[in-house]
Amino acid sequence: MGLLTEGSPLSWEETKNLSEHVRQHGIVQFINLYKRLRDRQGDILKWGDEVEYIIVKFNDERKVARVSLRAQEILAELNKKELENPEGVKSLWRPEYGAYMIEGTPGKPYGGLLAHFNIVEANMKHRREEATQLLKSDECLMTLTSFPRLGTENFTDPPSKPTPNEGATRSLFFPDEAIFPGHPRFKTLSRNIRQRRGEKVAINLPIYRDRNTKIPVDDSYKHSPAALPDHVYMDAMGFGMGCCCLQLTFQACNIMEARTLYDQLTPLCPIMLALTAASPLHRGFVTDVDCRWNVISCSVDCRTKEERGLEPLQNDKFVIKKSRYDSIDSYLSPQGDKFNDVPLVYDPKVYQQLIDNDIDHLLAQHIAHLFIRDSVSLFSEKVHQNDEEDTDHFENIQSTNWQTMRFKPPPPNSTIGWRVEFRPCEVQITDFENAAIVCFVVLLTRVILSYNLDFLIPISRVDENMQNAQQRDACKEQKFWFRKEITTHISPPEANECCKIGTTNCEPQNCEVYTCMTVNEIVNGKEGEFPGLIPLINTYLSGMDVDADTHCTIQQYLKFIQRRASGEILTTASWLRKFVTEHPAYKFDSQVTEEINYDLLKTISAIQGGELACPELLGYSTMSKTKENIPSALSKNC
Amino acid sequence: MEKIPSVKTCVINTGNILSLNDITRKSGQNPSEELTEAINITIKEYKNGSVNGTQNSKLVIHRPSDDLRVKIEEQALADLKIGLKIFLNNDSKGLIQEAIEEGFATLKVPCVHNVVLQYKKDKLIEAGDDISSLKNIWSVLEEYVKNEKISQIGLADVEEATFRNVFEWATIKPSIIQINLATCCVVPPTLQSFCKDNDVQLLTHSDPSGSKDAIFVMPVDIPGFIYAGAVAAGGVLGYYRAGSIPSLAAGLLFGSALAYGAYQVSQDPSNYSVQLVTSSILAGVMGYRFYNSGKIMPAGVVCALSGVMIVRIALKAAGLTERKIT
Repeated sequence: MGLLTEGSPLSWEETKNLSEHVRQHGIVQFINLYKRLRDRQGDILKWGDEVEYIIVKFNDERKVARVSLRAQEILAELNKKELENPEGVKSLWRPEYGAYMIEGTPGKPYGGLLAHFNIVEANMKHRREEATQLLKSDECLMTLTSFPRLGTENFTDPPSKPTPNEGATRSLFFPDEAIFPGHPRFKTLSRNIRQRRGEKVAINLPIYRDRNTKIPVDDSYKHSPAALPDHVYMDAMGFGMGCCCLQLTFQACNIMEARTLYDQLTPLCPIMLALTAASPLHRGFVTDVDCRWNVISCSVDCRTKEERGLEPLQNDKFVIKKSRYDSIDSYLSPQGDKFNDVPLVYDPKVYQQLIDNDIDHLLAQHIAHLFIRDSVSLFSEKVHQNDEEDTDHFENIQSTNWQTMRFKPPPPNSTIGWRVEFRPCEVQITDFENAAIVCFVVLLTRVILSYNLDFLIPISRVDENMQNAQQRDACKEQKFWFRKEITTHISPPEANECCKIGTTNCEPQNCEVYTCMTVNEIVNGKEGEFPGLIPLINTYLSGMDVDADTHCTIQQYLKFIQRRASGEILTTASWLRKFVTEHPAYKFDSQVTEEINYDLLKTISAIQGGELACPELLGYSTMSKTKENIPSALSKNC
Repeated sequence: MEKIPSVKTCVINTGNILSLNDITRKSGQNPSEELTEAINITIKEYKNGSVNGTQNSKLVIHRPSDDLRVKIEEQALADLKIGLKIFLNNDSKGLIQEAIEEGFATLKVPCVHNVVLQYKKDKLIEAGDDISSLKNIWSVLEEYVKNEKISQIGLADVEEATFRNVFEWATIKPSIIQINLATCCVVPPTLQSFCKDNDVQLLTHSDPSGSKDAIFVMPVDIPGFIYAGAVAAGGVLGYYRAGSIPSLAAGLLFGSALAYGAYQVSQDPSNYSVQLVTSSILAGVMGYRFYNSGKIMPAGVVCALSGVMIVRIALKAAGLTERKIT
């Protein structure tokens, strides 16, 4: 979840007093690293995935499932291998926000060979097995975006009680014990975000209204003025950061390619969010949304009332439109400039400082915009740094701007180049699904660069899409703004004009470059109008030397994505919703009871283990030809 | 094209089709459609531009706006991995040499990383792989490898036994075997392990396999259908005029067989066996009846029509074997 600096955390008061210090030095650190690395060339495509896991504990006698708070214990074991042999391990393990979560990545990044697509799933399987070996027989490692009963009574094992009047979170539902205890960062972040905001965070998700659904949903509104009665109310960072996601990082060959990829993948974020939607169940309720995005966004929203525009500015500098966890606000490449139609908030002095140091307008405004945030986690050992070499202050702000895309400079003194992180996807139940999504996105980057494709639409339209993507059944029902003419960077002048003018009078008929499309049309194409992402990938692959097994695997993945997009099979979110609402014990009251939760998680455990086929979720062909290693005939020829 | 009467060879160079927006926009076309479209675009752009490409009775048709050279020059040659695929239906050594040299000249490179050969004679004439011709061509490729102009050579769409045969025989072993994408999930385990044991790359392609003529979108065989219709109509007419049920039955039977044959030819021009056999029977039977009775209608007419049809099929078949695609 970002920079994991070890040390003694400062109190919020101390951190707040040092926030200007962190910003100033962070900017200088960025300027220095930019001067050092701007011309870095010739890095090759490397990429990797990050999968987050939840440890679930079943009690088969009492038919209950809880989150097991043993992540720290298990992580210590998992990390031993890495400590002994950092270069040779097949997987790397890191802590995550929840005391019941772990994060796994491949031991080494994947490379530019197409054959690498065939080892992703095998590596994911290996990770799942490796961690599962350390679990007790009643525990199970699961890739669930949200634990359905997170924040209900006794959702943890061992049991823990929320402490609304003390501790880091002060939630009515989420106990501090459920926060990863092995690293001070997580509790510190929770406390600082709450204190900076001046109150607890507030998340309100509309309830899915079934025929026996009670309104108000519960008595939260009696305890907290922020709770909306017809919404599922949540009040802790853990409800968001305790969710699991699937992320991808790519290394580009140079800074320009990284900026291009950052921009071109941005319009795909909402589409991928809708396609991977996997979290309709929160705090024991069926909600009316399918995704985690807004939950996390609200769960770390550290803006004060003034910054949120609820009170006139007195102590704070800016009114800020979004939480520090949200979709990006500006494009970075020259062709993206004309689509930056959302006014960016930043400190003009910081912007000028960047410009004076020979940083171009687009990058300067991006960095200056990130730096409107305060540090929310600072360690006493890291306050004073050598700005020529260290980048901790820059990373401090950068890594707590959790956006759909992240533009990452090379770390100091490393062989790693400019990178881009793709962060919108929700994690799926099986390794097959997760590998399919990962390979799909990486293939898209290859197609974008090979055909010089252009997906850009005004950033305000991407924001609209982000909200639509989270609606119930968005993958099937919603329409999204998407670019029609993707084959050329030269768009008709009148279209450019139209898009520049603004968002209100830009109806699709006036604006040639983009239109409304369904996920199905975007992924599978629309006769005579749009080629479709998968046909583009297939055309790309037909011109490449792909080995038979890899191509077989990729075809399984692409067919699976095509079926998800077309609605032939269900999204994870739709399947979860269907499972709950069709469960014999369901009372049509939007509640995920202990019993339903237990049955659901048991079913998922059987599906992920391959003991239970689930064609309505996965289709009929889920057998890829994934293997542990790349055949020698192929690796020799790279 | 009539302006240049001295042309003996015609090379159509589509150039870099990755930058043809019209093709990218229609992603999802099969490679035959894609190639046809690329060729059409190339010819159109060539006609519009005023380029004179004739050299030594060879006409090179290319796109003036092609950016292939520019794109290649963007990279250091050492960083590029260039592969050629050659489609042949004739085992002439000169032809494959010409194809490779044309490839080098077009790309302006001294050598390439790999060359994959797809060789198949016309279906009707030869069932299965023609191993001796294949070996004949292979020796040309081996020369190129010896001269360090090609580093790897391979075969596409050959039977497993053929591949093993060539592998055992060859001095320079094939290091690539290309199979059709449609079969990539059902590769025989014996082939899998052979490739693994011998470090052969088992790769996929989505090019049309089998008869290379499928690359071209063939027009509907209109004369074939007219002929089928005439035979059927003759039968109906005989029944109508003379109440002859055998005439009706024979007319409809041969008419439908010929219609089916014409349909097959429209799908795949090399698939003319039904058409040829039916025409021959008709020509024989009706010729015999004409010889006995001397009646022009219907025996003489049908016999003549069938004869014309047989000649037509024969001419087309000869044309098919001469066509080459590189």
